Amino acid sequence: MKRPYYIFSSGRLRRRQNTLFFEKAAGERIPDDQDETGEPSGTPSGERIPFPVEQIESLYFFGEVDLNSKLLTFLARHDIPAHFYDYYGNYTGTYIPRDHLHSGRLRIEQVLHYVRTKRRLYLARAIVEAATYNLLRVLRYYVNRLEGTRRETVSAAIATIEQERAQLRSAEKISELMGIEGRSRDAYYGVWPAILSDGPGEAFVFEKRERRPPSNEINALISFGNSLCYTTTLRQIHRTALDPTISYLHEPGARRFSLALDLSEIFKPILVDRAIFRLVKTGEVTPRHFEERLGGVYLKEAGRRIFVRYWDERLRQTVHHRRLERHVSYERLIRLECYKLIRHLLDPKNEPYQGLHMWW
Amino acid sequence: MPELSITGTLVNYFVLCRRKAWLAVHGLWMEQESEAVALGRLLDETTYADELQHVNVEVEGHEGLRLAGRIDWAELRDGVLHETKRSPSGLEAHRWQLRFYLWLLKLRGVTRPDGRPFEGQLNFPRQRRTEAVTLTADEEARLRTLVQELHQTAALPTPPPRLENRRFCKKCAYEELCFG
Ligand code: SF4
Repeated sequence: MKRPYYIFSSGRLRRRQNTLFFEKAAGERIPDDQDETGEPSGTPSGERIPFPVEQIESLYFFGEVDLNSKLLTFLARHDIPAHFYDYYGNYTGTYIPRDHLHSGRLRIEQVLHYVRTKRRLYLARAIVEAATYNLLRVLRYYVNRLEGTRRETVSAAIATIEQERAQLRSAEKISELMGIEGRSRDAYYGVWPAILSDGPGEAFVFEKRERRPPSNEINALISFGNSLCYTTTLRQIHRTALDPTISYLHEPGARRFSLALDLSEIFKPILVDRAIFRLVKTGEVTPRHFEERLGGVYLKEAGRRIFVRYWDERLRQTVHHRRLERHVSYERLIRLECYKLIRHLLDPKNEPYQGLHMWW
Repeated sequence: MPELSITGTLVNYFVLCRRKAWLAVHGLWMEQESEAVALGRLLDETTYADELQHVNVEVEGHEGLRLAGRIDWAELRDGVLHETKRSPSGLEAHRWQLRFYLWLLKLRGVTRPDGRPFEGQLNFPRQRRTEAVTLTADEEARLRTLVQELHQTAALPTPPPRLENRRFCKKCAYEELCFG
């Protein structure tokens, strides 16, 4: 079984025949933006970790890593994407091997569904519809477990999101859909303190969502989790013939692989937010896993490790899929989302796309 | 519809399911499927390495249809075409694939040294089993219609419906694309 490999240490990645070796480096890592030399921060420690290439689905580099084009060629041959994070834990980008599964027909349909306003609107609406539904599912799960004013606060947010969703049908512009999604999310994040503020969660302060830079611990967790969700979605898109640069809710190509942004909207509540609640409420992640840098708050390495370990387990957990009549993993659900989109693109009348609604 | 070349794999798919053939024609190959193809290739290269001989045949068929075959390996002197499969499931489709190759050779006027037509052999190395396949006049006529139907299916603007038989789909590499 192939799986993602997450590398936290710094060092050099080398290929020897069909095995990759990670040669660890020792010593302090210099922040990427404070380094003028371009030289590796550490020195080789002599410790080498091998991993056979057949087992690697993708690579995540959280440490500082040296690699050469021979290695990239090798990764391309085995179709292994590599995702990079900077010193502060910010996602910096993905090396994605040239895609191998082409379908001219599908790509043409992807473009047509973007340029034809009605078609684009249908897909963008379906994405917001599903994403906000999943926000509600998360809130409804907690509202029954809360009491007093905390419960009222969450109930009010549920009502707000429901009102926003009621306008989905009449929305005729992408910007209106974006507005519905944005306001729903504001209402949603607005009640996180009510959900989190007891037990170990009390140690955290969270007022509102702030991205660049994340202004407190919870924002740091959201940013880090969302970046994992994005790369996971991208990996799944890459295994299909979909073009990741053509999207419907987000404007294509402006930045990043925008189709991954579209689809990860649906999965963020299910995967990222629930992971955060879990890690904070159980006290697995505490304020000491964070540090302040450049006016922002970031997860330290130990915190990243905890998050990534939980994330990876979570992706492999399964739920029962009625139509397939078997259990599928959360990660597989993202692939199935790609397939649903493909079916829609090929035959929108008979196979209209519906975003995943959490059914469990 | 851009120029379509009808291959043995497509004939195989078409016999199993028209939808599967349509999806493949339009470049939608499934990951498992491409892995299985790679595995199949590995299997035949390791199992019969000493006799390996890939043969590519292309024929301009009726009404300008392009027919193309990539034959696993052939014993040219004895006049036997081989097709290696992982398992006999979908046996009928495997047979038609091989008959299609026999037909291509016939259309090209290729025979054994003694003038008799080539024969086919399906190989299932995992099951240590083989099956002989020949081409009758009736089957040849059926192939002609099969290829025409395949061409018409490929030209449909949307994929043909899913099969009614879910049990059958459960074994198909396209199951998640169709039902997921
Ligand atoms: S899953 Fe069923 S309908 Fe879909 S391609 Fe396979 S056999 Fe055909």
